[in-house]
Amino acid sequence: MRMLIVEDDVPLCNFLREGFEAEHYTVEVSARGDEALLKMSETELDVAILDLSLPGLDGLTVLKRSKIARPSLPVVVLTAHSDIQERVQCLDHGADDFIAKPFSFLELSARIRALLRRTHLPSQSVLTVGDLRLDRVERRVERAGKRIDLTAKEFSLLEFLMCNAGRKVTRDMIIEHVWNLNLSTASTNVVDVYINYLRRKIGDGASNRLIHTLRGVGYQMRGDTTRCVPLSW
Amino acid sequence: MRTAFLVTERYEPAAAIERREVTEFLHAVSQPMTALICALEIAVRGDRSTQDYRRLLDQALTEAKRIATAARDLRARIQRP
Repeated sequence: MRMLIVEDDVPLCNFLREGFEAEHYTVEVSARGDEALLKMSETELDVAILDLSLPGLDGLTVLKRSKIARPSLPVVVLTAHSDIQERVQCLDHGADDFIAKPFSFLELSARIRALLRRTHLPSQSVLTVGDLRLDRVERRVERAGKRIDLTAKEFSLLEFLMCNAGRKVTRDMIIEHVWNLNLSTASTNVVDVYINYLRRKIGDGASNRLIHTLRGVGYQMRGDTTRCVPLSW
Repeated sequence: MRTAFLVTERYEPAAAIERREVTEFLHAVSQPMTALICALEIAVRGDRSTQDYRRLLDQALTEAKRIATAARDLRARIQRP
């Protein structure tokens, strides 16, 4: 799951990033309202955490405009105030949830999970390709009913491939979406290394191959899929 | 404008001033308090190296000092004659 944290307090932002990365989210951060609005409108995201006091553009305006640009993006609002008027204003402008500082990371994390359960239809939260099944919310992977343990990066890579099942994905696309980097894959073989790890773990042999190599292009996941339109990819 | 501000300040009841000061204090400490709680919650989750614990505890200490500074500022403002 891809998350944007919009918070101008650097230490707090770093703690939130560390906490959510440990929970296997792919995290982007922004400390300015104008920059955040651009990311919320144009970047592929599953959820955003938005502080209200921001330089550049205030959080409420970011919320209003982002809901016009991308109404389906769930947004949890953080604020240092807890007065009812502000809560009502946020909810009326499209906030999906609201938490007042000081809050517990555990509570924020639980609220995000609950929000993702509410906003993602079952068919979108569970991806299947052939006999491979990936639950995006429970972070569980099974093949032919047998559970497979993956690292955070392997999970993100498999999720990206399954979201794009049937499509060709280049190594550069994988690097950008899974590693969150904009660099040429010419200088690194990290994608191929991780694809090999994945193939080994999901038992992707010649007879039941799901991840296919497209020479000179990248990879393609093939198989019967119940995947609907990808959430935001 | 300045005169109006001084008049308001002079005649604002002590209880209202204290309430305003406390509200400002709570606003000022909400950020470091959240950071402190999150740092400690993240620190106690899962196994970490000694170096990693030290890093998180150092950061938590910095946040605790931010709260202490805000508390000192509040006391100085309230005790100002």
